[in-house]
Amino acid sequence: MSRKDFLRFVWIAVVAPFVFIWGMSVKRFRESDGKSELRISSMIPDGISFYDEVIISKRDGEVKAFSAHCTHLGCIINEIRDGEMVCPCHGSRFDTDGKPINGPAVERLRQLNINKENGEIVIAINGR
Amino acid sequence: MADNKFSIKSFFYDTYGAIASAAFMICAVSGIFLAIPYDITAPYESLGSLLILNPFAVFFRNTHYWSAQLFLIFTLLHIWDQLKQSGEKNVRSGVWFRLVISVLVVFFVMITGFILKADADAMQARLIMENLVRKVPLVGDLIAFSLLGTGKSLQLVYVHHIATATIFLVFIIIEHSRTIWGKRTTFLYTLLFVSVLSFFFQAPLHDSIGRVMKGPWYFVGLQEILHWLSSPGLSLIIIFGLLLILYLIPKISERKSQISKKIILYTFYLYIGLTIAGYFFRGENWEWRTPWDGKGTDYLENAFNPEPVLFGQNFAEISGKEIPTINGRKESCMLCHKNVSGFSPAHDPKAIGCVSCHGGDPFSSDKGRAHRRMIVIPGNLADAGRSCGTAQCHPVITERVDRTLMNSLSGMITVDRFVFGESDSLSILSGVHHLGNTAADEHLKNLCVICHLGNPKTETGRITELSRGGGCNACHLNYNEKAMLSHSLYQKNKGNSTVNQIVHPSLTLQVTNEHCFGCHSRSGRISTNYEGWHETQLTAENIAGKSGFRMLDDKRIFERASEDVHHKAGLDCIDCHNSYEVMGDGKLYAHEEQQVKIGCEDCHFEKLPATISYDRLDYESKKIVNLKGWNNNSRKFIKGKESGIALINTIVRGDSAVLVGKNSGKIHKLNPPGESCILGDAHSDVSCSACHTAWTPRCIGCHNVYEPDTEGYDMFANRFKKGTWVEYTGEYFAMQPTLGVFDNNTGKSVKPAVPGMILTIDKKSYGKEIDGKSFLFHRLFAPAEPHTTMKEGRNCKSCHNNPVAIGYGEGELIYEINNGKGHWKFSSKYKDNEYDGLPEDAWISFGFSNKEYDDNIFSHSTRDNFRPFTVEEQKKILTVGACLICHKENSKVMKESLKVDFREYLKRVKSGCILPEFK
Repeated sequence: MSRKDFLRFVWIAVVAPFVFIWGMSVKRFRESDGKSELRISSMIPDGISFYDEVIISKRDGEVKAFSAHCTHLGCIINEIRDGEMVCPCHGSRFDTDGKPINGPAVERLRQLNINKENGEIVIAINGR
Repeated sequence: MADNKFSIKSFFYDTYGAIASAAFMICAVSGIFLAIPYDITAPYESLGSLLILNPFAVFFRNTHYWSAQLFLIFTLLHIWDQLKQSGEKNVRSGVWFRLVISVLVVFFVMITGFILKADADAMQARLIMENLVRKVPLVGDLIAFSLLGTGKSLQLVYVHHIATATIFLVFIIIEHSRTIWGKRTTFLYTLLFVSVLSFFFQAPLHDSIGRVMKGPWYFVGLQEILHWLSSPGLSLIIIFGLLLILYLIPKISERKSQISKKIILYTFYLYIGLTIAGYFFRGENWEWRTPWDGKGTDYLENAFNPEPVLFGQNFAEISGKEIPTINGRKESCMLCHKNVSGFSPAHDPKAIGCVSCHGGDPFSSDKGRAHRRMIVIPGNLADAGRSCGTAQCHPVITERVDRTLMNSLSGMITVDRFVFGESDSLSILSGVHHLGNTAADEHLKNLCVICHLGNPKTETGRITELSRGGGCNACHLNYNEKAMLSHSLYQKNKGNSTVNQIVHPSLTLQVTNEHCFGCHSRSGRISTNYEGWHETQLTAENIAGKSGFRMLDDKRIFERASEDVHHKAGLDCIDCHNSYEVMGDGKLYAHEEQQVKIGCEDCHFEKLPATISYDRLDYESKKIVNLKGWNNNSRKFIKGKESGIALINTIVRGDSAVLVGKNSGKIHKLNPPGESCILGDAHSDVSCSACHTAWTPRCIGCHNVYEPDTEGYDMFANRFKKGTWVEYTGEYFAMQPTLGVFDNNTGKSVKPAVPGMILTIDKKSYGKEIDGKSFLFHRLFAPAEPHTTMKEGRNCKSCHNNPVAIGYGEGELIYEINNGKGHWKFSSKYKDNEYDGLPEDAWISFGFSNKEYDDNIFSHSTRDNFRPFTVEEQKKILTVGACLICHKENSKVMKESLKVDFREYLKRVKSGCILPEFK
C-alpha cells in the first residue's frame, strides 16, 4: 500500500464515524421532537376550510381531514377555485376528496386521522 | 493578439470574477448590519418593522439584496467567461471539484437568503427545497434536515446562510483566485452601482395576501420545469447531470469538452426562456396571462418596487409597539388611521387588519406608498378572491356567490338569445362574463345586465336605489347615521389630506330591503311590487301636486297599489330568502325558480313540517344563529321542504311555530292555510301564488331596434358607446295575473304567468338576419312570483270566468245559451296582432279545436317546462265557469264540487243545468 492510499484509508476511517454520529444525532433529535396535533371546534362549515397545515372537508355531515401539503413538492395548499383546491407553487389541483385532478401532483393528499373529544375535533399531524 | 471584436466585457471595469468578488464582499458586510434589526425568532415581523420605521436599515437590506443578485449574475458570467477561455485547464483537479460544488453553494446561499424573508413565498420555497432534497437517495432526508431544520424555525437556515455557506465561499474564492481583496476601484464602482440600485429599488417582501406565489427570479425557470414534472426527482437528475458535465469538462477530450460547454450554454438559454415565461406570463392559479392584461401585477411591482428610500422621514416619536401585528404581519395603516371606528367585531382591524380587505402596502408609513395598489372599495367580485375570499376568511362563500344567478344572469341571457334566434334552447346555462357582440348580447349589454353582482361598486357611500351590483357590499354594506355623517364630511373635505373618514361603514348580517331594491325594482319589479308600487309611464310633471305616487331616484314614477301582506306585517326579503338562496349553494342554475327553495307551505302549514334542532344545524346556519344571539340548545327550527335547510328565524313551539324578523326581531304568528286551500283535491295543483297574487305588472307592445347613431351604454364594460339597442315600450298594466302550468316529471303546478316576451325585434337594424328574416316577433309568457300576496285568495270567477287568467287577454268572455246549448264566446279588448293574429295582450287564442296547439304547448313560454292551459284544461276551467254563472261561489253545490271527482259530479247535475259545448 502506498502512503497516499494509506492516508486515503485513514481519512475515510476517521470521517466515516463522524458521518454515522451525525446521522444518529439527527435521528434522535427528530424522535424527541414529539408529535403535533390540531384542535378545532366541531362547528365547521360545509365545504373546504383551511387550517394552516390541515385542510378540513365537510360534506353531507361527513368530516375528513387532509394534510395541506401538496403531494408534488410539499407546498401548502391554501386556495379553492371552482370547487378545486389549487396549489400555488406549481398549479396542482385536487378535488374535495383530496384526489389530484390536474398535475403535476399525481398522489392523493394524505388523509389524517380525526378524533372527537369534548366538542372538539382533534387531528394528528405526523410529518408529511 | 488583441481582440478587435465587440465584447460585453469591455463595458465593465474589471473581470466578471473580480466584480462578483466585490459584490460578495458588499453583500457580506451589509448582511452584518442587517443582522442588527433582524430577529430570527420573528423574522417577518422584524422585517416589517424595519420597512415601516427604519429607512437606514431598509437601505442596508436593499444593499444586501442587490449586491447578492449582482454576485450571482457575475458569478455565472465569470463561469461562462472561464469556460470560453478554457480556464478549467489552469485549475488543479481538487480545486475544480470544489469549484463545481461551489455552484451549488452559491445557489444555496441565495435561496437561504430568500427563505429568511419568511414571507409566504419564502415559506413555500423552504418546503419545496426540503422536499426536493429529500428525494436524494439514501441521504436525502438527513441532508434536508441538516440544511433546513424542522418545522417553521429558520434558525438552521440562518446559521448556514451567514456562516456555513459564506465561509465556504470565502475559502473557494481565495483558493482559486488567490485573493479576496480585489482592486479598490472595482470595489468602489460596484459599491456605487449597488448603492444607486439600493436607493431607488426596494428589495421585495410579499404581503402574504397576494395570490401569486413566485420563487426568486433565478429559480422561476426551475419552478416552470417542476410544473411539468410529476416526478420532481427528475429535476435533480438534470441539475446533477449538468454539474457532472461541468466537472468532467477538463477530464475529457477537447471536442467532447466543446460539446459539453455547448450543452451547458444552450440549457442556460432554455432556462432563461423558461424564466421569462414563468415570471411575466404566469398569473394566479398558474394560468397564462400577459403583463399588460391588468389582472394585477403586484408580484412584478413587488419584485421591482421602484421607490426611493425615504431617509428624511421622522419616526422619532413612533415606537415599534404601536404598529400592530395582524396574523404575523406588521401593518402600518393604524399609524395614521388609529381612531377609525364603526366596524363589526369580526371585521375590526384588531382582528383582521386593514390590508386583508383594502390591500395597499402594509410595510410603509408614507401615505403615497401605503396606498399603492390599495382597494378603496373591497368586496367587488373581481377583488373578492383576495379580500373576502382568502383561505382565512370566506373562501367557499365567494365561490358560491360567483355561481349564483345574481352573478351569472343565466336565465335572462338564455331567454334573450333564444328570442333573438341565436339559440334554440331555453335550458342552457349562460353567463354574463361570456357575452360577445351578437345582436342578443349587445341588446343585453345595452339594456339588461347592469344588475349582475360582478358589476363593481365604484363610489363610496351606502347602497341606494341607484346601486347596481357591488359584490359582497351589495347586501352586507351598512352605513349607520354616524358613518353617513362621517362620510359626507369626508366627501366635502376630500382635497384636505389630513381629513380621514373616522366612522367606517360596517359589514353585517343586516341585509335590508333597501339593499335588494336597486336591482329588484327592475325586471319583475318584485321590490316595488312587494311595497305596493306599480310602475307607470308618467313623468314628474304629470304627478305634480298629486298624492298616491312615488318617484324613485332614477325618475321612474310609481303609483300606489296594494302592498304584499308580508310587507305590511313587517317582513323583510331575507325573512324568507336565506343565505343559501341569495348567495347560492354552489350549484349553477339556469333559472330563478331553480335557485329559490322557499315555499309558502314552509310557513303556512296544516301540520307541522319536519324540524331541525340547534345542534343539528349546518355550520352557516349555526353561525348566523349565534351571531344573532339566538343560540339555544333546546331550540328547534322548521326544516325547509325543498331546501332541507333550517329556516333559522323560525321557532317551533309544540305543534306550531312563529317567525322572527331577522332585522326587526318582531315575532310573527304563522297562520295555517285557509279552508278553501285545503278543501278537496280539485285545486291540489294550484300553487298558493296563483290564488293569492293581488296583481302583477304587465306590459305589451314592446319593439326593439338598433340605432347606430344614438349614444348608448355598455352595462358590462361600464362605458358609453355609440350605437345602442333601444326598446320602445307599449302600455303598462297592473292586474291579476294570467295562469300557466309548470309541468315536468315530478308533477304539475299552476303558477302566475306574465307577458315576459311579447316583442318585435328589428334585426336588420343591427345588420343581422336570421333565416332570411330581418324582423322577429315573439309571444312568450314567463312564470312569475309577483310578490303582491293578498290575504284572501282570488274568487272563483276571477279564474274560471276571466279571460286574462286563462290566457285569452282582456275582453268580454260570455257564456251564451241558445236552444238548450251553451257556448263560450270571447271578444278581445285589443285588436289582433299583425304577426300572429292573436289579441295584443293574449297568450293563447280562444278556441278548442287546434290540435297543433296542444302538440306545441311548450313553445309558448320562456321555459321548456312551463306552458299555458291545454285545450282540455281550458274546457274544464270554463265548465266550472259555466256553473258559476248560476251557482254562487260559496254555495253548497260549488263547495261540494271541490271535494269529489268533477267528471263524476257532472253526471249528477240537474236536467236544467246546461253545460258548455266546445267546438
